[in-house]
Order: sequence, then C-alpha cells, then structure tokens
Amino acid sequence: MNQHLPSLVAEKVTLSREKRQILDGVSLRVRPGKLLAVIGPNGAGKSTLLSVMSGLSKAGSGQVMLNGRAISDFRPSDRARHCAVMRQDNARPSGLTVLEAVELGRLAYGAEDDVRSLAWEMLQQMDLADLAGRDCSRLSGGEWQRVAFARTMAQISGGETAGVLLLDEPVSSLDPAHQHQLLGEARRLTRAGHGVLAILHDLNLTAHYADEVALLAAGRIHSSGPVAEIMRPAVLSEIYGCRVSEIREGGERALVSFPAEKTR
Amino acid sequence: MNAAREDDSLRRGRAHRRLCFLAALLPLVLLIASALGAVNIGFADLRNLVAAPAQVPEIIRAVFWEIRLPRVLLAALVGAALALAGAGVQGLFRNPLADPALIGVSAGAAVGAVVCFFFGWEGLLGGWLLPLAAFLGGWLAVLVLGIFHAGFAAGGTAKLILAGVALNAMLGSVLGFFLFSASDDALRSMTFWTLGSCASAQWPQVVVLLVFLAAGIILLWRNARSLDALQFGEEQAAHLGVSVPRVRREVIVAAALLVGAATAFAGTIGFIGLVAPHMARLLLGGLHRLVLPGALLLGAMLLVLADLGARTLVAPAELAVGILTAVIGGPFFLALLCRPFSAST
Repeated sequence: MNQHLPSLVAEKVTLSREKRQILDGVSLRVRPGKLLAVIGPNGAGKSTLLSVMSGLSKAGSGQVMLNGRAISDFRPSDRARHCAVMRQDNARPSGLTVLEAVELGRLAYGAEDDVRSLAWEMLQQMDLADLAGRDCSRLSGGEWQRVAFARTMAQISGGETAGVLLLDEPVSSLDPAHQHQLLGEARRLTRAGHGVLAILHDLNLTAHYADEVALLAAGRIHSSGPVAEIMRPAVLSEIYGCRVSEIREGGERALVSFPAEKTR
Repeated sequence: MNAAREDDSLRRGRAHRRLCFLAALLPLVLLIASALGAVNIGFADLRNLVAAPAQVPEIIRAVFWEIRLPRVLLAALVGAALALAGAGVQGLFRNPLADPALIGVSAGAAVGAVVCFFFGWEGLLGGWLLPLAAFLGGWLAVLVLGIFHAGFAAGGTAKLILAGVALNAMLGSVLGFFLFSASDDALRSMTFWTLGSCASAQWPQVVVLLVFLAAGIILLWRNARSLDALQFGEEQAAHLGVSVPRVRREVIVAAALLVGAATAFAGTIGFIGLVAPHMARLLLGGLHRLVLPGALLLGAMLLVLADLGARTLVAPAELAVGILTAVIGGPFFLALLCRPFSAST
C-alpha cells in the first residue's frame, strides 16, 4: 500500500453563490489513518465544503486533489472507489431492503461475487443484521443513518487500497450509545489506513474521537490542528456564542455547553 | 443473524419465482388472446396451425397468421414498451406518479398524428406517414425539452419535470387548436387515435416495434443499478459512482424511443405506463433488475387483455383500447394495493 495514500487535500478553496461568499480560502487535508473533524456554527459552510471536497460542487478558485490528482479529473465511478460520502440528505428509498441498500455501496465496483457477504459483514458491524430484510422506508431516522453509514463503509472497505470517507453529520439522529458505536467504527476505519472527515456538532464526541479538528467559521478556517490545541473552551465559547466548559473525570476530558447568558 | 440470512434468501427466491410466473403467464395470455375474437379458433386448430397446417381451414389460417397474431403481438409489444418506459421514468424521477407522458413524447406524437389527420395525409406512404409523423412529433417534443433543460442554470431532474409539465400544456394547446379547426371526419379520426387502438397491426409494424423495444431494453437494463442508486437522491447516487447526467440522458432517450414507437402504431394509450411498473414493484420489490422485466411482462399482458376486450366486447364493432386499459388495470391495481402482496414483508 502506498504510504501517502489516501489523501484528500483542499487548497485555498473559495466559493461564492449569488454574491455571497460561502468559502473563503479554505485549505484542509484529510490524512490516511486520521479522523479529521470539521466543526463550526450553522451556516459556516461545512456542508458546502464537503460538497466541494467530494468533487460534486466546483470551487470558484483553489483546487481539491484526491490522491494527488484533481478531483474534477476523476470519472464518478473512479472517484467513488477512492472517496465515499455520506450526505445528510440521504433519501430513504422505498422498495429497497436494508441489505439491498448496503449492497448499492459497491455500485462503482461493477459485478463482484462477494458483495452480499461484504454487505452482511457491514450490517453485523453496525448491529443491523436483524433489519436486513426491512424496507428502508420503514426505518426510524436513527436506523436509517446507521444503514447509510454501513453502505458508506461497504463502499470503501474490502479494497486493496485505503480510501477517504466524508461524513456529513453522521450521528445527528443517533442516541448516545449509537453515536459512540458509529464514531467508534469510523475510528476503526482510520486504524485500517483510511482517512475520515466528519462534520460534527457534538463537541464532546469531537474531543473524544477526532485526531485533528478544523474549526470553520464564516467560510474560513478559524484554526485547525490537534484536538487538544483547538478544542479550548475559550475559543469555542467565542465561536459558537455560548458558554463551553471542560469537565475532567478520571483521565478523560469532556466538553459541555451552557446557554450564553445566565438568566438569573 | 442466520435467521435474517434465511429470510433474505427466501425473499429473493420469492421475487424470482414471481417473475418466472409472470414470464410463464405471458405465453398463456398470448395464446388465449389469439384464440378469441370475431372468429374463435378452437385449441385443436391452434395446435394444428403449427403441427399440421393442412388440417386447418384456409380461412382460420388466414385469420390467425394475417390478422390475429400480428395484432396480439403488437398489443403485447406496445404494452411492454409503455410499461418499460414508465418503469424507467419513475425510477429516474423517483416519483411513483411519474408517467412517461411527462417528458412530452406522447403529446408530441399526438400533435404529429393530428397534423396528419388534419391535412388528410394519414394514407400517404402506404399508411406509414402517420406513424412516422407521430414518432417525429414525439421526438421533437423530447428534443425541445432537452434543449431547454440544457439551458437551465442548474439542470436538476426536478426542473426537468416542471419543464415537461409546461411543454405538455403547450402541446395540449396546439392539439386543441387542430381539434377545434378540424372537419368532422378528421375530428373523428383524431379522437379515435388519441384513445388508442391496435387495429392497424401488421407484421411490418410488429417487426419495427420489436427493434425499438430491444433498443429500449438495452438502454434501460444497463442503467438498472444506477436507477437503484438514484433512489438515495441524485447527489448521493453521484457519490456512489453514478454519472447522473448520462443516466438521465439514456433513460429519457429510451423512454422516448419506446413511447414514441408504441404511440406511433397504437395511438396514445394511458395508464399502462403508470400502473404496470407499480404492480411490478408491489410484486417484486424495488430493484430495477426485477422491476424492469416485471413491468415489461405485466404491461404486455395488460394491453393484450385490454385489446382482447376491445375486439370482443361489442363485436362486430370495436372499442378503443385506451378506454379499456384503465377498466382492466384499475381494479387489479386496487386489489394489489389492498392485499398483503408486498414483496418486502
């Protein structure tokens, strides 16, 4: 396996729509074996950034390179073998079962013999095997989110080379236990050499699971680097406009938020 | 886990068995429909038509080979083409209410045909000018839609649907103008044409339609998995490796070929393109590798039965088949919706 693969790099990406600057000179690097969390307030440009980095939206200026090649040069099926994306607005297909949905993660690979067994493996990892035959339209929001993640894992697993995963708020509908389960799986993927970028809102989960953090505010990278450097209560309080404090229990550190002003 | 795996293989097995059953049912329906009509052909004669033609009366042979069989086959091909186009378009638009008519091809074909009737040209070119005009009219409409769509700033599928609605309305006005200004005779022909009929069936039409059906099958089949992925939404499908513009183009070309050719020979026949894919999904699940063949078989059978009714119900007169498609398909569809027939339980 190539030591430098996979990599997804955004260089000075700028994008404006209808005269509104959404991204302003954003540079970001998804490294192999690392989980990069992108955090920031609503409307900071996180999803747009993910859309540009996935090659679906074109940057106004700057460029996005996947494994050293401009992402716009990839054919969709080629790109899909190196970079899997889990969007927030994943439509739930009626008429497809959970297993069939996960098998579609392998679409870009053409005919394969072991698609089904790989899909079963992913379902088991996400504790979804019992739902395999259920119609996707009859899943709860959280169940569907886990299915979509299983499909995203199927898209990038089983290959000879590691890939990049881009996850847009992958745990937004999940209960705490499943949030940990999903991000635990994401971290396990980084152990296997994959690079992961996840847009997250939960500061505590970010502090726990991310290797690196990029703090995006108003279309710019406010700061980025190792978790401990970036996730400081003072900085977060300022960016989000609410009070963020740190709690320590044993060796672990947790971040909690409080309303901006005390009402009393 | 093992139970889940077993359930899964049971479910898949059931869907495949149902598809095989439909495939076996089609020849039976074709056979029955070829036996019944203004002249009923007994099953002994039917068998002898192939096994021992000399024992069959001359008149029966002529009726069967020259009239009955091409007509039954044309009905089957038209039904198959409409249903297949419907399955493709519904998958593309992710809208179960989408109808192949949405891309303007039926309305364009109707304008082409109505222009022919208006000027009294329907008999020209040995009767081939009418289907040709209808087919070209249908294609012109789709081409206009494509040009408009290419001109949109962000050409998503949603805008394509809206453009189709606008195009249909405009073509409806053109149609209305010709209907309004036509002579009584021409008006009668136009009205019959827009209600659909397989009465013009001859072998050359059957062969031409077969070629178009084959082209449509190839175009849609190679996009079957992409249509599955499109059910996650266009952007997510693109992330999974689908070249969305290419799929959109090919599905629309396939639908235009299928509906254009079917409409050219049989007039506008509604309902089949909408309902046959639905029936297929209810019986077989949502995977397009099952839905496409299932819709094809169901559409063929539905139209053969509807045409059988059109030929026999008020014999020796004939009903327009478009009147009957809904009468036959509607109750069957309602029954499917009510009964626990769903493929994914």
